Amino acid sequence: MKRILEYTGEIITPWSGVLRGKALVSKQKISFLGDIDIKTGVIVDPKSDIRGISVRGKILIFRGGRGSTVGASIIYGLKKRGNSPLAIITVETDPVVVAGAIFSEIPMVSKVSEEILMTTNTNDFVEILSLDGKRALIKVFKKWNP
Amino acid sequence: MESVTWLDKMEKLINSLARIWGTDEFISISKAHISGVSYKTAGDHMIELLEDIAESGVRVRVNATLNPAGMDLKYWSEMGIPKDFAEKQIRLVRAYEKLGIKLSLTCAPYFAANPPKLGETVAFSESSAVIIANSLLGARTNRHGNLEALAAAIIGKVPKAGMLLDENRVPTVKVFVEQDFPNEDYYGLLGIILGEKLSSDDVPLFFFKKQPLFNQLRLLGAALAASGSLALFHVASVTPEAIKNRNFQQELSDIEKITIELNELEEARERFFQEPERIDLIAIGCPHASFREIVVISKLLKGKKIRDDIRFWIFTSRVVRNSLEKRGILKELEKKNVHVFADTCMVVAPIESLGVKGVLTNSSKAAWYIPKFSKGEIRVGIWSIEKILLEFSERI
Repeated sequence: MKRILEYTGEIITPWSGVLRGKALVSKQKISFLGDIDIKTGVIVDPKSDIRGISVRGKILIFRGGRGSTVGASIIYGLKKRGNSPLAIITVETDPVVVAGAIFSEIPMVSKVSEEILMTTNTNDFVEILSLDGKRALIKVFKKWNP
Repeated sequence: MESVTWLDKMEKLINSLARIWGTDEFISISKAHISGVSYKTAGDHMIELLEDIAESGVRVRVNATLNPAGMDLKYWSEMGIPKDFAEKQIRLVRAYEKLGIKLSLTCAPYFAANPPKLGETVAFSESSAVIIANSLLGARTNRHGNLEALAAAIIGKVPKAGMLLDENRVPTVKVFVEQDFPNEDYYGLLGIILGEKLSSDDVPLFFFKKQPLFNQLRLLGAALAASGSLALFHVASVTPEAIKNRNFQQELSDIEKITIELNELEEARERFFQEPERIDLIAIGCPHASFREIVVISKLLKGKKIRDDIRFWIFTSRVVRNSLEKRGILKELEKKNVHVFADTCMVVAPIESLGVKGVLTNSSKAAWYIPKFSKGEIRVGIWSIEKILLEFSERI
């Protein structure tokens, strides 16, 4: 049995077509400087709820960015090394993550309801599509095992 | 990455900021000041990013200046900076230079020729440059991250929001200081305490008994920005906007009033700053020392010198250092074991790799940041310059 949850948000960095991928979800804020290993894309912050997991190719859904503006250069470096997420979805809109996403051309949607952090689990299948160039629709496919 | 140009990306960043700040209006800037220049804080990946941006051919379109680097670009070896750090630092500075940015390498861009004037809109990053430009010059800037300031310098405009709007520049709290300060370091402590009590959107209006000097207010501003992320303050009858708006008497019916006592500031000194067991470095110049401040130190050392077992460093801009050299003051100071370094400061230079474990300074901002930037390895005490010179000098 499947259930589809829908959320909307603001498009920060555009893309064409539909993005499809597996979610990697953190309820916390991420500081790209310090929390992540640029060589592998693995979250190394010992306090992170997604520590030890690589963001590579995932639809990274998290509360928002925090920390140094240098974090934007880490996001860029991840993209250059092929270790970046497929897309970024955040609740809060931090200028550091915005700059990183724009410079790296990583699709980003922000100002999404906080609820998405509660209902989406890591490895849930997610689709993101643009509604009108400004707003996006996020579909979370939940597997429901009765 | 070929599809979208760097110019497009910079434009997108400025537009995104406008949406984040809830406006669709923009305003042109005349100047920009860019941080993220020290290799210590910026790192290898910032070099990578900036080299890619510079390679694309994009250039700044307004007068843009740079914050301090991690070393004196000429005398890094004399500072004891390791060679591999120096190589990376030079690369980082060259990337900014390629973008058309001036290598001013100072946190006090307002001391250069043609500083921002009352009402002039600029895009500054670096918290002390922001608060000082806003408060002591009456210019208008928001607090920008370094990449935002870079984007603004390339595009030539910023969103019309935040501190650029009159309504956000009106005082939100009155602060009364009834007693005179014994020394200038109290201004920094005042900034530290208020930074804790107030929110970053607050705009304090200060009432002092005696009119404070520009450099004393710089210490206050730098500390307010460091501890509380404030962007603006006014001083009744002293700062340009306070004067222009007759101390805002019209607007201030029932805003909060705070009174600060000297003992609160002494207690803050105890609470926030642990005096080091041994002093490896005495560091003056956060924000960068002005020509006049350094001349005063030289005069206070008449007939004296700093003890040989002490490292006494003053940090300032290249322009100021060159002036001191031209007038023979630099040589005089060196004879007294006082060394003046340019292009850098005690916060962003890798002093922990120079074996420094204990620092003494007159700057609350430096005392606030050094432990954080050295992962808690360095302890910093705050003393006034007079007390420092008294304790660490000897007759010649």
